[in-house]
Amino acid sequence: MIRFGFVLACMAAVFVFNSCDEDAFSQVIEIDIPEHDPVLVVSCEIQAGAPLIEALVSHSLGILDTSQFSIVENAEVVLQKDAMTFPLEFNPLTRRYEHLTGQPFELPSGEYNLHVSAPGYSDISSSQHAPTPVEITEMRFEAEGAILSDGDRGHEVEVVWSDPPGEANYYSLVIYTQSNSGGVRRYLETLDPTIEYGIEDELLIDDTSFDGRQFTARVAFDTYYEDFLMPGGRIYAFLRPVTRDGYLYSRSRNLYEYNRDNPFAEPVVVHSNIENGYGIFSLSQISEAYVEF
Amino acid sequence: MLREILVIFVLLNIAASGIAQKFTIKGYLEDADSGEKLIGANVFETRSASGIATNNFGFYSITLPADSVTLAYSYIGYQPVYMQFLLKGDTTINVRLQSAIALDVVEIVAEKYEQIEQSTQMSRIDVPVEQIKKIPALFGEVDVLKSIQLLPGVQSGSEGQTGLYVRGGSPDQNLILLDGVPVYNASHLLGIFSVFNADAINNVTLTKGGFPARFGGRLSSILEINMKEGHMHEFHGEGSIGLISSKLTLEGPIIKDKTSFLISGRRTYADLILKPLIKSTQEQGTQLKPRLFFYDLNAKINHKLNEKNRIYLSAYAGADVFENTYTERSDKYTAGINWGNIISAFRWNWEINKKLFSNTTLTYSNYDIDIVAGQETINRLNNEKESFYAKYVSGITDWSGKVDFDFIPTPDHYIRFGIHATDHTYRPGALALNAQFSNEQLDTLLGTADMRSQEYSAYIEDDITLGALKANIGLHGSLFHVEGKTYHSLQPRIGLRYLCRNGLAIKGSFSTMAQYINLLTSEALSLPTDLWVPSTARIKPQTSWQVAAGVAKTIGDGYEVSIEGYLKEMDNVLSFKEGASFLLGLENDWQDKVTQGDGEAYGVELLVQKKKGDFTGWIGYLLAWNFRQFDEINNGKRFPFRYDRRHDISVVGSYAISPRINLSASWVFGTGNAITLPTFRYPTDYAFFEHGPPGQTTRIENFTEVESLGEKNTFRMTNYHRLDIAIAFHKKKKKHERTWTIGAYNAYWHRNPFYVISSNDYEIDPTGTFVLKKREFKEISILPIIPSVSYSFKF
Repeated sequence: MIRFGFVLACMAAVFVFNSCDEDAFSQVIEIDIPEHDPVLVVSCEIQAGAPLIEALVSHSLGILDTSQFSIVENAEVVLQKDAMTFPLEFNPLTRRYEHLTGQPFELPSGEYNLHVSAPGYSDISSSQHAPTPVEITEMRFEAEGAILSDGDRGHEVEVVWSDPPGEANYYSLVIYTQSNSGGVRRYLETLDPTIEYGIEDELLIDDTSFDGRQFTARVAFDTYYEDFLMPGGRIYAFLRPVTRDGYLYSRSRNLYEYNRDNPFAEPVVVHSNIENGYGIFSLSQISEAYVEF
Repeated sequence: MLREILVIFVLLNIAASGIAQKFTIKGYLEDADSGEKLIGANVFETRSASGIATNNFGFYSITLPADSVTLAYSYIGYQPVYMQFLLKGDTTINVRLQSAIALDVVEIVAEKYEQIEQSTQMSRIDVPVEQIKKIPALFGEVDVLKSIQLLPGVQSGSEGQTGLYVRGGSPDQNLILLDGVPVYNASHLLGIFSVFNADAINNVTLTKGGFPARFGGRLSSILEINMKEGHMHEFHGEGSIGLISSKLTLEGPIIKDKTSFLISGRRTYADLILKPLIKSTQEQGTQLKPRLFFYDLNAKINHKLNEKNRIYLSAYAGADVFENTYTERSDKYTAGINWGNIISAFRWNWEINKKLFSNTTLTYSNYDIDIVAGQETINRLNNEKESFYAKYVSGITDWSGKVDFDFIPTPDHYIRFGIHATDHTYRPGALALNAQFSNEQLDTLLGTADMRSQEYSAYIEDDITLGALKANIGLHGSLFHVEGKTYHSLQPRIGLRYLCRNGLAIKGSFSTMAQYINLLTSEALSLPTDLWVPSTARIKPQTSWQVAAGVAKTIGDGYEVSIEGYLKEMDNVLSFKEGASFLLGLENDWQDKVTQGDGEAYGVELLVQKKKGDFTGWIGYLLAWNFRQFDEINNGKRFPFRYDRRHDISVVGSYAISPRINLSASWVFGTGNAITLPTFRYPTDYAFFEHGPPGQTTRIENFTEVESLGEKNTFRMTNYHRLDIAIAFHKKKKKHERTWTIGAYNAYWHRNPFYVISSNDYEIDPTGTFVLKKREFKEISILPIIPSVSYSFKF
């Protein structure tokens, strides 16, 4: 019995001794993260019909580096298409590199190359092929024609277009409602499993399931801000055929934002298509249609 | 081609049978004391050196030439029985073996037991329950699954979890059978304990490769756990009182030597301990009622209809209850999560004739989880009662029937065949909302609809002995019907063993498997909210093939050594897509959140086991590689699985210092889990122009900072190692036997990582802005040294 008590006392002593740490039930061990050499980062989404071409140039930092990001102001940013060169100049007001087109940029078909260089960094580059322009062929609206996920009634919009055959096409779709009191960008719901969400609630569609055929995107939105139903009000649909990299970037960025700080979500890698660096270079066409009341 | 195979098969049969007159000896092997059937016990004829093992019901049948025979009946932990007689007709011999422990023999005698080199099957390990009970346990709670994790080729998931990762597989790829019934959630308390009460268990067998054709439905392993049948002769009981739970098992005859029963229960009592503490601290007018416990209830009735027919009815019910009700004056708030299994099996053993044995099983298995939240309040304006309740429910229900036959025409052939049908009903998640307000009422059900599927399988296998060569050849066919889609699969299986003259057995096996149901789970943690879902028209069945080769030999006085290498390829394995949360959102179909890909695992396992003597135990070592590849994850590049552990070592020992004192210890080491961490960050922008109405152009800008993860699972947590120790003091009293067990989990308190967090230190600069001062990643350990003491008794 004495031995039994001795064993018990020893175990209790070990337990008490080990419990004298700062936190008895959680222990902290540091992990070594490899050093990171900063590289250039560029964000450049060129959109047909936009009044300018712009790019944000910055740099990456190691994950443990506590310094702030800075805009690289002395970079050389050049966009090329065939023999044409579009130099982008740094604008200190917007802190972006810009090329003023003077009129809506048409984004003719072909290969576009973006090249960025800056002292102290390796050059970075990326290339994209302009997506084929696609026009909305029909747009329909039915007031309170849908049931939303929360069980309430919502307005339904159908946007129809013909997909170019024999090529992979990607689309972004947004809906605006416009009334005398202003415009509202709508959060859209859809039951179509092939449609996904992108940045700023845009819907993303790839043509895997309807290549070369007509496609109807059925979407719904809530019944708030119903001024647009008054005479003169409009519903706009903006369909942007976008490059695959633009599609992947928007989808992954949205997932990244949505799951930020969610410990239960699978980690997300934001898509990048910049050689020797990070960021995004993408091209998109534009088509719009509206229903007027 | 088929005809030629059949002719060869028949010729082999004839050749193996020989031409001498032969007779069959059949019967059952059972524990002399309790009447419990001995599964996998050995019947060995010493002159012809031919032998056979008892089946899952203790039945054996051996056909021998008419001659003088010497039969040895043996089972590990029991005194062997020898019989010598002249075989001149078909004979029935039921043998009762005396437990070495019951005889107060310290050394566990196991002469002539089937040694590792005798068995055709490789990658299969029987773990005696007595051995499991000796292994030191967390909180002193003996745990079957945690003991299985100590075997080579089997890995635990996160610290303290009961999940099994067998040869590169995931937990849903293990078929866990309790008395032949699938158990869908085998864990309590978020995976810290398993649902199996060791006091109610007869035997545990793990098959991790070289699957015989009778097994199917999962890719990675079959864990068979059989409950005790109940003492046929006397009333007995055993139980224990531990730090977190107590249990009691009672068994005995209802009709002596004809009908027996067993009933066993276990319950934790955290809520009972907390109750007075909460009561003393709560404010006046408030009341907190916690319901925090889990329980298990096992029951079994075993009835011998006659010498040739026997029926069993077994049932298990277990649940975890985590629910709190808080009352403040007339307002009541409830929140909780409850989950549990109910399973039941009816079995009928029929000894059709001396060479043919059948087992018919009807089973029911149900797993349910519900998460509840609600409140009842009084509206102060109109004094009316208002309430809101939300309940998330999910689960799976199986009804199943199967018939298995054992046909033993000669000692050189052991043929098994059977059919199996299961009806699955899946409830992938639904939210019931009920609200009553003064001006509004709501009663609705949201979520995915129930799904049903039917699964059928048939198999045939033969254990063939051709001199030094033994083979197990079989075919398993399965068919799965879901949502109008039918999948089918033919799975050939082969296992070979060649026994060299020096006693070295060379073994090899090839097996293919198909799996039609999947568990949607996080790689990191097993939660009760994990969903069982079927293969569908969109989600293809998981399939695999595995090839294994190895050698086995018994060296010296009972040291069994085996080395096995394996390669497993898996297709259509499931994973959540990037960004998907395993707490599934109801707005989406679960099929939209998963993606399918491939898996590859290979490695070498070493097992040195000592089964005899005062000191028993094993050393297991695994050298392994484990990868996954999904088109939609990690840019389509192959990456290490989270539990890709290069080295995994387990050392388990139990030493009987004296008949009254037993010392045991286990030490485990594992390469740290693979994890994904961000390595750098960068700013990114998303700016575009929307034309808007005519004349208006809107510039949309979305600037953010992105942390880049680099490639998936390229980092490692620090290596895991842990020592558990226990010492047991036995004492026989007048009417009972008691044991005090004192132990320590993680005895030298290694800070084993459970998860990794990012830690940020901020400071306020002169402008009053928070500025990041320091950032680091930290591993958090959750289980320090945990001492335990338990008191157990037997009568």
